[in-house]
Amino acid sequence: MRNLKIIALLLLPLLGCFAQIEDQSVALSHNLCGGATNCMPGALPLGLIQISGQNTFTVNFGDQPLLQPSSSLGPATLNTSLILNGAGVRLQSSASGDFKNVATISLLAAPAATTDCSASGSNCTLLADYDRNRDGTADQSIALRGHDVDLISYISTTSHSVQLQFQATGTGPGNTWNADVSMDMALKARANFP
Amino acid sequence: MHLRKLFVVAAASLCVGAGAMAQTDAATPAQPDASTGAPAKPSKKKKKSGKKKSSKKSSRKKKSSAPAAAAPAPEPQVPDDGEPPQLTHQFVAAGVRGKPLTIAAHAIDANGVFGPILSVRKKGLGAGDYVPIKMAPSKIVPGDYSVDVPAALTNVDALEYYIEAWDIAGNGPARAGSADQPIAVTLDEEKKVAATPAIPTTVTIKPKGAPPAITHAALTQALKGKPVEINARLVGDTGVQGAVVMFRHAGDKEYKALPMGNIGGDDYTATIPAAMTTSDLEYYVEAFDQYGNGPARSGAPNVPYALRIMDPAPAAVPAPAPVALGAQKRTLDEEPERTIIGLGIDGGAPGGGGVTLLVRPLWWLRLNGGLAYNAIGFGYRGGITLAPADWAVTPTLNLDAGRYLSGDMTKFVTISDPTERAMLSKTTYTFATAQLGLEFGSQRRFSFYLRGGVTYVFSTLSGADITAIAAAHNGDPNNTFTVGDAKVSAIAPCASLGFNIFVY
Repeated sequence: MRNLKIIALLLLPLLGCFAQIEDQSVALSHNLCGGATNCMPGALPLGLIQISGQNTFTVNFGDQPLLQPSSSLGPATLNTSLILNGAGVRLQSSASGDFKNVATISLLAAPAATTDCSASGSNCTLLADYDRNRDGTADQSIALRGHDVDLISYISTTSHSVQLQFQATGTGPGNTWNADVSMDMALKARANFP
Repeated sequence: MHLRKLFVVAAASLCVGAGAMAQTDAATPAQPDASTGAPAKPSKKKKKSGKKKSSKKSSRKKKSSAPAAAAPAPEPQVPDDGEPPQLTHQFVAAGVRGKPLTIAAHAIDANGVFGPILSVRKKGLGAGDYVPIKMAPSKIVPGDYSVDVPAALTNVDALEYYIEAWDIAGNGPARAGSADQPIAVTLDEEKKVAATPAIPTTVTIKPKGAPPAITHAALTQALKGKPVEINARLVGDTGVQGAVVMFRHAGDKEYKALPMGNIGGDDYTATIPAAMTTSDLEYYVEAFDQYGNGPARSGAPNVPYALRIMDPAPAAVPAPAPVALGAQKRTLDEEPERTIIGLGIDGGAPGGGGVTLLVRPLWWLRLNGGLAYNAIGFGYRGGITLAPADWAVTPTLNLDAGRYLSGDMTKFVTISDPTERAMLSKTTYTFATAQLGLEFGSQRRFSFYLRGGVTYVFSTLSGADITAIAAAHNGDPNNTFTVGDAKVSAIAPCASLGFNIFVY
């Protein structure tokens, strides 16, 4: 018992000890069509926005350091979070038209490439959304408001990618279009001792 | 026996009268024996005279006394030893002009002492100019006699005196000095009284009383062109006299005397005039008791207080309130072995090692600043240490902060990725440390210590570097990463050991 007390006393300075890295601005930009081509038809009523015939599009983060939900760091465990602050959709070319007729658009994390998040029980997670009535009419770009979702749990630990899906209402740009989807995230990795 | 008594009474009356007449008494007898009315050895002629006075006295007694008194009561018979009294005297060589001069002597005789009689004159006058003054016996110490030569007699450059004493039987006189070889007393101005050199004799005569105790809060600064008030508390069982502030301009040789006035109770004050506060001053305070004992001093002629005279812009800084000696706050500043500058060397983890310069502005406070090295790279650091005691083992609280510059973290982390290596090879970080410790040894000279606590580390990683790392790991060519600066922080335990050595 006495030894336990001594050990506890010696470990007392460790209480509250930690190491962490914090980056409030991690931005990833992803081209929907995978190049300069316009893969989306113009002037279509929006619903599930399919990209190259797929319900979802894949964003591969790559094998980035720290982008693991948890990893061991010596005697401590490193816990990481990647909070999505917001997202954006920007037309690649103004010749495609604009987003003025887009009423709403939501960015969702989908469990599988074939999932239709509008279906009940699809088990999708709303990451960010836009509402023209709430946020104003968009033009060449749409800013989606984030819902502080931690993306880490949606990033595959093997493929390092996440399946995302757009659900929208209204009408898309008048001509075929392509867009860059950007995600603004906050990274925080912290190891607590002991 | 009656005759001798009458002589004693007559002589005593003469002495008192002569003392009152002071030095203007031109009728002072030329012969000391005659002037003082000292009892003479019985002779036939004097016996007759004595008989006349005795009969008068007897007749007066008869009027007021019982018949039995007509026959005088037998007096205790002490055999005449035939020897004069043993007279010892500590010569007085100096005094204060215009102040009473105390002269003391010690005389004993088995038959009883008559006198002693002090004969004093202005130096240079004739043998007939001595003024006889009877010395008064002490009520405390048998055989001690003293007399204050009146101030009216001491307003001269020098005096000469001698003392004579007889026994009641008329044997004597025993002398200290003589009319022909008197003892000289130099009388100086009040502020220039030199310590009375004592010529030791067989018996040491203790002066009456003691000099007053001086409590004074030394002034250190004052404003140029403004008067400076100097206060002191003078406490003496035998009174206070001649309290002065002796001051001079720094660099001057002679002091000027500034009498201090009593402002109630034991408090005295003096004000150095504004006209004198033109440059730095030095001063001390001194005082005597009413018997001239002293001087008691706060400061001294050779170690005066330094009073810096400042330009009017900054306010005068008052000295700290006077405190009793026993209650004085302990500071290294007051200690003879005060050391304030030293060197410290330490090492530990994860802080690394360092060499620091130590400065101790207060005995319980140390400041440090210097270089740090932790194998990653060099840095600088500074801090404070609180050491609230000066024991052989002293607890301390240490607070440090610093920054490491361009360290190479890859020495400790195995990284193959070139972009990550590039970022970690130029790591800089800031740290702050709080530690409790124990120091062994002397706070004034050398101490060894052990410390433990926590350290807070803070660093910023370049966003460009992180962007490069992200791009290198990018799994999709359609992705573009843009990463801002990242903040890295940690709180971790730390420990260190080292030593301090104070050299100055």
